[in-house]
Amino acid sequence: MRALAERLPREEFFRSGHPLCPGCPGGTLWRLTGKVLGKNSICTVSASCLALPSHVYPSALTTPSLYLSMSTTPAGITGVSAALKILKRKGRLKTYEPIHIYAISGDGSAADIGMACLSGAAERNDDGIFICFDNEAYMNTGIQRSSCTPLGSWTTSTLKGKTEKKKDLPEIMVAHHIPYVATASMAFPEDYVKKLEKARDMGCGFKYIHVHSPCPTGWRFPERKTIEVSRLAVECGLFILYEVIYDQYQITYRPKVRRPVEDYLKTQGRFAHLTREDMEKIQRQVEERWQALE
Amino acid sequence: MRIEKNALGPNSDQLFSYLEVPIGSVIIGADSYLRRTGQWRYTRPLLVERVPPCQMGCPLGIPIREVIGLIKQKEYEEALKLIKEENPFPGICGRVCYHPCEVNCLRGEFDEPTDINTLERFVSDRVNENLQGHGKSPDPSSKRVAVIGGGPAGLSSAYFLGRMGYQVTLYEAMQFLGGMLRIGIPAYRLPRDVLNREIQGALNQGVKVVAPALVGRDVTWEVIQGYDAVFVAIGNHKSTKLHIPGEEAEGVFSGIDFLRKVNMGGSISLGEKVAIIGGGNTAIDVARVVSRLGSKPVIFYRRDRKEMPAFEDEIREAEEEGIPIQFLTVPINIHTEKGRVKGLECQRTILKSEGDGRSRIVVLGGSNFTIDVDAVIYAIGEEVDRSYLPPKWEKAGDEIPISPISSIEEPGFFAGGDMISQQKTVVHAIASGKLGAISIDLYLKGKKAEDFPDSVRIGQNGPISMRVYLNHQSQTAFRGVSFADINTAYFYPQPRPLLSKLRLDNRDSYFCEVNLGLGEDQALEAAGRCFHCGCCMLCENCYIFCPDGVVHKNIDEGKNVIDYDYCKGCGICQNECPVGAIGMEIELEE
Amino acid sequence: MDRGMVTGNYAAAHGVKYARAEVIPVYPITPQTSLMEKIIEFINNGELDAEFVPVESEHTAMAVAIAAEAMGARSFTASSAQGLVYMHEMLFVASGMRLPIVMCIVNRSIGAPNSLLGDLQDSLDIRDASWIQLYAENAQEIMDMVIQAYKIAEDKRVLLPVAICYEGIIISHCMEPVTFLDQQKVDQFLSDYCPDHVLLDPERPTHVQAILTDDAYYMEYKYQQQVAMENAKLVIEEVDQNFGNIFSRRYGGLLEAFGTEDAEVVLLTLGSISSTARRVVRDLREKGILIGFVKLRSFRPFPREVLQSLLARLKGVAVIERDASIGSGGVIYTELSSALYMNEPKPKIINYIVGLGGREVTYEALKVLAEKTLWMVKTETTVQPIQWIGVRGLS
Repeated sequence: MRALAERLPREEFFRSGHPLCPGCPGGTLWRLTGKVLGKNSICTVSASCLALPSHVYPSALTTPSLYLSMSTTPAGITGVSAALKILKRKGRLKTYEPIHIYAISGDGSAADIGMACLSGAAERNDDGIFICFDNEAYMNTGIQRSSCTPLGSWTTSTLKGKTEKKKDLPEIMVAHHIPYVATASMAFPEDYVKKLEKARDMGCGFKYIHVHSPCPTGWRFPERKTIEVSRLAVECGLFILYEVIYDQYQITYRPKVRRPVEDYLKTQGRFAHLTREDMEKIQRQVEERWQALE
Repeated sequence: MRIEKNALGPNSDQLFSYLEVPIGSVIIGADSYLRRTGQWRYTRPLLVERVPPCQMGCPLGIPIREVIGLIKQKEYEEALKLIKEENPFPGICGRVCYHPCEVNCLRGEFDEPTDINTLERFVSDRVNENLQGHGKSPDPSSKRVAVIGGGPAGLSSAYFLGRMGYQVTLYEAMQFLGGMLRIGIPAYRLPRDVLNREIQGALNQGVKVVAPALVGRDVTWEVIQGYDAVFVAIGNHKSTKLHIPGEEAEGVFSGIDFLRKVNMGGSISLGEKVAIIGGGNTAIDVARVVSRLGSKPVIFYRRDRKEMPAFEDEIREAEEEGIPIQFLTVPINIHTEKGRVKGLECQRTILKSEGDGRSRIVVLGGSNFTIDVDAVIYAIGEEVDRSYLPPKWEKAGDEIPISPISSIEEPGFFAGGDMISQQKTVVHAIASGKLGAISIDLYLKGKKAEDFPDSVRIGQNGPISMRVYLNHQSQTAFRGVSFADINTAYFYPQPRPLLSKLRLDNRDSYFCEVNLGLGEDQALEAAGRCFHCGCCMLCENCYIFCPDGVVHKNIDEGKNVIDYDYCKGCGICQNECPVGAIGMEIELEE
Repeated sequence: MDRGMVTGNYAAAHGVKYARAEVIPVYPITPQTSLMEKIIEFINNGELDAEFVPVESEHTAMAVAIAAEAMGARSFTASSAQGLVYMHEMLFVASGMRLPIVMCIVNRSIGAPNSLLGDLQDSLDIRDASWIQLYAENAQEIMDMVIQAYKIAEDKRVLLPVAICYEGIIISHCMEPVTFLDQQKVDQFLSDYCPDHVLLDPERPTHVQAILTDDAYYMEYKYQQQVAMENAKLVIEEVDQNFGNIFSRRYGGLLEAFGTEDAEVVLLTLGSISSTARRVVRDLREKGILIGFVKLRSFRPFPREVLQSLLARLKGVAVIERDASIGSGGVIYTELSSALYMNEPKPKIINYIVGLGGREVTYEALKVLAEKTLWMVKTETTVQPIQWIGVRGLS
């Protein structure tokens, strides 16, 4: 990890003193994103846990940000990029350095209420990086299920466990034929930084990065284990790290030995009620997914 | 309608007019430093330095983690200097030590332990110390200390005392120094040039040698009592007898006598078949020497392989060389013909476990058998030769009444090495020499040694350390590292480098060294496997993963520091630290 | 001077072109679609240098307009009925952020039942969203108003979004003669948008749309909007005056009135009905009947003071409007009643709800309403204050 630490600037663009839960991977995500995208970046946040560090006084973010509403986060990318284009053309911009536009959105905001907006922005290929922070439920309002909640998970609106499967949002984005789709996890920060840099340097177009973000508060595990749970999700094959560049798939990390899903599921209180059959069902799903992807 | 400074002050009930609130519901800037989230936590992370189990397990307390760190950076001279603060004989230990450090090594619970032993040897061999003519002369006004016995314990105490500036005179009964290192350990395990080099390194601390000089005969005890302090370490050079009929016959030797003769260059006619009785390192060494001299050795041991006291490495080497070992066999009679050994009569035994500890040996009556042998060498234990002890102690019971810590019986007299009751290994002998030097230093400064036994240890009850003693380092309050502290996700399984050995058909009477050690590439590979347990190695995991960005770099010291004003105490840093260098402490209510 | 025949929508498109809007996110909906198409045509043939964003819903359209405006680019969008209601959430965001967006609302009835024809229900429905609402009567007024709207909105005393409303089909699709403007003169009148209150600028980082976790400053923000609306009353008059000075066309500022000095009864209308009502009043006055006419141009801010001074000593006011807040009455009627309530004396106000769903309001119908009101005043009869006119089966 030292090579990564030496490569990135030491300056913090997402400062301490923010009100995220202790152990929230969102803090790590935004810190790394800030270091990669730097000072000249403008972001849109959605109504989610991550709206609070930037849009509640005092703010932790040192770069400008916009909050529209829960369903219109991708419209922020659309509007800002269109404005930048015309202002540049007319010579009305003060600076000529490239400004990176990105959006940070929760899974509920991206996959449910904002699905139409996200789909529209992707289809228009608006210039920006859309980072979906997937904590697999509506966490900010107190752990309600979203379409990205996985099978069997407890939430306050699925008290016996969710009976539907998780919506595969990266695959939906691939179907839009955008230049870049990638998945990432906070347990693999070098992988995430590489992908973000690739997205940043790719030129114009809509790029989508789906970051798996275990939530200690909502998934019911001790907050010090956040990175460990993230790693287990990848090592058990439940979350696959891959990227799709112009419709070409590439898996960026293959666990040498895929651990049984039980290792991952038993760390979290939200899966405490799962039976052996449930776990086997989930294991089979993982096998099928890997086969399909290979 | 908008003013330059952020009007949304930290107190939201400040009296602002609507005229001063910035229009557009805008927050200007990033003032989150105003929110001291450090108040949220109930545990706090601490960057700690824990004592690694390898150092705890080393009887000499060598700072192994730091030494390997220097090797990784190719700083071999610095590494050797660091080792020599605790161990004067890395070249010897790197060959013959039973490496309890490697047994404790946490890497061993992951895949295989780090090659600490071989790396110690590598450093010692690698650094080309020009030892000739580099001896120092002690200050003639400093106190005079006598060391009796030139084995590892005596040489070690002479080394440390000389380093502390005392005038040391070493009395050795034989012509050559080394003790059991020279006469007991054969050259294929410890080459003579290495031994001489190491001894010279100890003598270069300003040690005067008087040899051969047997105290009590060539030098009187009165002369010895004229010194300000005396360290006695005459070792166990008297072999324990078998106490079976026929042991006085011709062709029956004690293991130590046999080895001494061979190692000093003499020859012994053994005949073809040689029976070796015993299960310790001496027995193994005897067998391997016999094999090199051209005879066929067979070892007889009364317990099984598991309970064999010899070092595991040694037993394995003996098996590699094809030396047969008959377990659960005890000799009862040596048959002689014309006063010369002809055969050995043995009985079988079984072991009955007695709960903890070693099992009880039960001899099976009626299981007698006899084999033809041309020589019998017994190596079932050594004890101190009481005739060499100072007069007052000759009549004492089995236990030598002095330990290195306190000189109860005779003020100013200290003892160490195999002769006192401790584990009879080279490294423990060197450690007792170190403890003796510290005890003498305390005694000569007028302090009572009993008052300080723990303040010279590493950690709470670890080995005695000269660095701790000389630098008056306070003990670390943190517990040592355990395997649970290591986050194995950041390490990859990597086997130990293959150590090359002398070919079996070259292991002959030239007694060439069997273990050929490590080359530099292999040494760097081996050093790279060390986890660096319990001490931050600046992997920057904590800095990258911290959600609050509270891990900052102290540029002057190059270390990481935590900003406690904002740390929420989540513990991710502690969980992801690969080496357990972060501990979580419960935050007390102030 | 250039003259031509354009529909209301095309006139709006020309207005947008003159105003040099920069980011234009629009979603098509009848009857606004031809406005959008004309703008695209202008962009394509180079007459307008702008970014057209083909958004996937009206909600997104307003969001994009907000984002672009926050970035410092002048934005424009347009919608009607269902689309307008769909972007309802974002309207509050736009006005709360004090972004001077201009939107053309091509009024259309809100379904159900689904109707493609025009009435004012949709724009009056958003009256609480803190947008300035200006109602246009014909194509020329629309074209001029778009330019005026940006001037009003971007004025530092105002900084509120502006909606220009006109009925769909009736105004939007009818060809009328207009006088085109001189771009250079427009540029002199309306310069670039240079905000310093809300701007996403890496050199001076701000976070736009704060989230308030306690009631900190919410009322202050809202009061600021109220103050801005009050200022808008002044600014609308000013801008209309200045526009008139340069382009020789004035629209009376907040409202247009004639014949109110000596009248006993006044017809108060807004939108397309105004043209007909004006004719009716003029004709009646020629016959000697003391009747006046008020065309409400600005609905938000509601010109309370002007109306009070204008109408207080009258005997009767007929509020004729194409909308109904079901369960209460016409919106304009309700607002006017509340504006005049504290006056002593005050006129009797009658609400005539006409033309919902685009139902035609004829000259004769308005004449009947005028006479009805005059009769009521003369005979001092009490009548139903809220009357629905033109409903089959209702007398």
